[in-house]
Amino acid sequence: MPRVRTAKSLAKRIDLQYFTQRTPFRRWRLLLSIMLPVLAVGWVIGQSALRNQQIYSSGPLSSAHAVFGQQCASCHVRGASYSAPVEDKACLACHDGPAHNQQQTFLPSCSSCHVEHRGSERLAATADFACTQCHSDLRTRDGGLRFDPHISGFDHAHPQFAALRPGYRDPGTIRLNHYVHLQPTLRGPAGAVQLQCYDCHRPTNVNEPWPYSVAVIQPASQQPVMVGLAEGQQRKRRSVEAGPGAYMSQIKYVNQCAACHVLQFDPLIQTPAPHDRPEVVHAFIVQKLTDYVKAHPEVLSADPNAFPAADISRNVLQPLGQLQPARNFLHPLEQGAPIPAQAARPSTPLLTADQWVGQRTATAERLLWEKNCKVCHKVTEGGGTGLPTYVKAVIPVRWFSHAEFDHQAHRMMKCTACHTTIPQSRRTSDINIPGIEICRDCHQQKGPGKQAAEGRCFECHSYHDWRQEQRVPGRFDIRQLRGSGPSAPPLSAGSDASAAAPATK
Amino acid sequence: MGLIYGSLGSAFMLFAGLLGARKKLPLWRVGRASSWMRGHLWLGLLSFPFILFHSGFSLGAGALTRALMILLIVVFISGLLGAALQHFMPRMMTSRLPMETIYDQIDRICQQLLQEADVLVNDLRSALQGELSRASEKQRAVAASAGTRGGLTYASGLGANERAENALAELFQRELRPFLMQRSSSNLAMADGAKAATFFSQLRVLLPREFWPKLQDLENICEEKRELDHQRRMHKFLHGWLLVHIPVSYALLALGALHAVYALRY
Repeated sequence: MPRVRTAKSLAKRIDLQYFTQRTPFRRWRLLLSIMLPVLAVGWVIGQSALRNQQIYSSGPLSSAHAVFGQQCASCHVRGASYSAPVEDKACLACHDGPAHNQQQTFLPSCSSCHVEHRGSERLAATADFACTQCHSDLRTRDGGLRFDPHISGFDHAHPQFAALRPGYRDPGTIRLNHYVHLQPTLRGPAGAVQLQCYDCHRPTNVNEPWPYSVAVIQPASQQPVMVGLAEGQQRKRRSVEAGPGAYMSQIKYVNQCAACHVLQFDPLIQTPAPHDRPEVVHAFIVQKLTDYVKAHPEVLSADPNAFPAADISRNVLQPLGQLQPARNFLHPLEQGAPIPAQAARPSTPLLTADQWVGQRTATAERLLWEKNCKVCHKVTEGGGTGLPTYVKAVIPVRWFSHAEFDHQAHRMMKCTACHTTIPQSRRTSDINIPGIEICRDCHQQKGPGKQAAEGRCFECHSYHDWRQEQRVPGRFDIRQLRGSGPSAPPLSAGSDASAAAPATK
Repeated sequence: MGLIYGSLGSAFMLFAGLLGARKKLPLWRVGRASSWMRGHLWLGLLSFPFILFHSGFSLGAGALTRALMILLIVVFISGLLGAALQHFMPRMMTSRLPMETIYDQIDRICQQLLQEADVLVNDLRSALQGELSRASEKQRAVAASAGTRGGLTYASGLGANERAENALAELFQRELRPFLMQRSSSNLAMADGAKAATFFSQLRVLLPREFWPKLQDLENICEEKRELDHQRRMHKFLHGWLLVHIPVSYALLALGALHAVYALRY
């Protein structure tokens, strides 16, 4: 009888209780379904037992906070909800957060701008939104607006720099012609010179001798003068974020001008006059001439014409064709030369010492007041003392009053790459800082993403004015900080942290 | 916003995970099983982008969040694979496996096939031996009359039957029995339909025609075993992904709960 496969015969082959028995597949499925979750939970519990809090981290901390990596509760104050960002008091417990502007109507929380757990990115590298949430439609408490109220980014909606906007006037009072100073026929202390920008303009952190300082003509002097940062050059940012060479050294006569613009006032006196107020200069001249006549009484009986006054033309820039040999500021008498024959008449003195000093002083001061000083300074009417007065020299040390710039970061550039107007600048009133369009050639809002330099707000602007920073007392010891000791004291509403918060909060 | 995405994604995953409970409790009449399956598929699918939004499209830097994201990706990919397999393979199995049976009963049925084959082969061998014994009597009578018929002696016919019986016994012991006994028999000659057909054709040549129906039954048994082996392989594809999907899903839910607790705590 052939083999027949009917539904009934097939059904008879099946064990009707088959579903009560576990097949290998079901056994494995059950085993894995139990083992895997248990292993996973066990791993977390094990990490907790080892006090490793890293496993809960939503991302690596910034380098500034990396040391807190094992101390989540240092910032995530207990009781804070997951939906709520880290509270400001946690930040303010360690450092101050100076207010931005007294007129701001909205005070963002620390963590809304400084987003943590993003790796080694600087916390100060905030998103543009942190700034534009107010500045794109700026409002102030008093209703007044001192800034452009619609700034939404650097690429398009950012005004030209204030110093280059119409109506701005250079506050500087020193006459300077960049064009002349960059000519190859310029007369230097030892012949023709071709000045370079770096000869006069250097970042503050450069500690090399100035090539045209007073030390060139007075090697024994204590020059050059070490010039610290001007008040205007104190950065709002923390110093760690920008090198000390961010700004250029202030221009000082003794450092940058003295070698060429010599203040020699009398051929008999080797030492140039000090670059100081007229009354100081006057006292210096009188003192020097008095000392000289005491040391050389023979000059009183000599023909005054035998000792001509200083060559008044020497301290003025001259074309190279009229250039004289290297200077020798010593008068022949001072160098040990004999008194000229026609001057050494053995007769009675023609002048008293006071008369001689008075005459020489008048001549010297005429030279200084009328020639040397006026080359750079503006004279105002005298104060009744017979001495001139000069307008206070104001050389701006910083052109961006609300932004930061770092020359050190741009050191690979030629100066004239950005300061394009310098070679042709002839007027003192020329403002030669680069315009925003030059910055935009390299800096773009999505800089790193577009293979361009950073162009977000934080690159130039700082929300906090760190010059106003208040010291916050420390609260950790090393064991607490590293997570090997008891936790840091908890923060509470009445803690020091809250007390450290800015008054505006 | 991140919390909303995370909560929704977790809720979807939790619902998807409840499908297992629904299957364990078939009498739990909360919606139809097909609705639960659709919900499992769509909400499970939706949970993935929600969790991506929640995480800001990053794996996360903490070991826990990274483990969660890896588990989620494994669950998501295995789920997609499983959905695709469950969509196409049942149809394919219906068309390719007419003798498909309950997977859990395949071993039992294979045992039955082996027993059935044993019986058939024994019957065949007994029949052949009976022929031989009867032929011996005739052979003796023919030998006594010293006659031949058509040039073919009974002695030669007897030799053919003997060879057939030997060949059948050898085939059964060497090929058929191991093939029917082993779970994984793909390396055996009988696992190949063409080779098996050749074997049985050779046997047909050797066996008298009256034995062919039994030989055909034997061939059918082999064919059924081949189909059952094929079903076993396809079943592994069809359900094997569950060995990854279900345990990893449970691990994901367990770690997700811990993540929520720690996150809400801080």
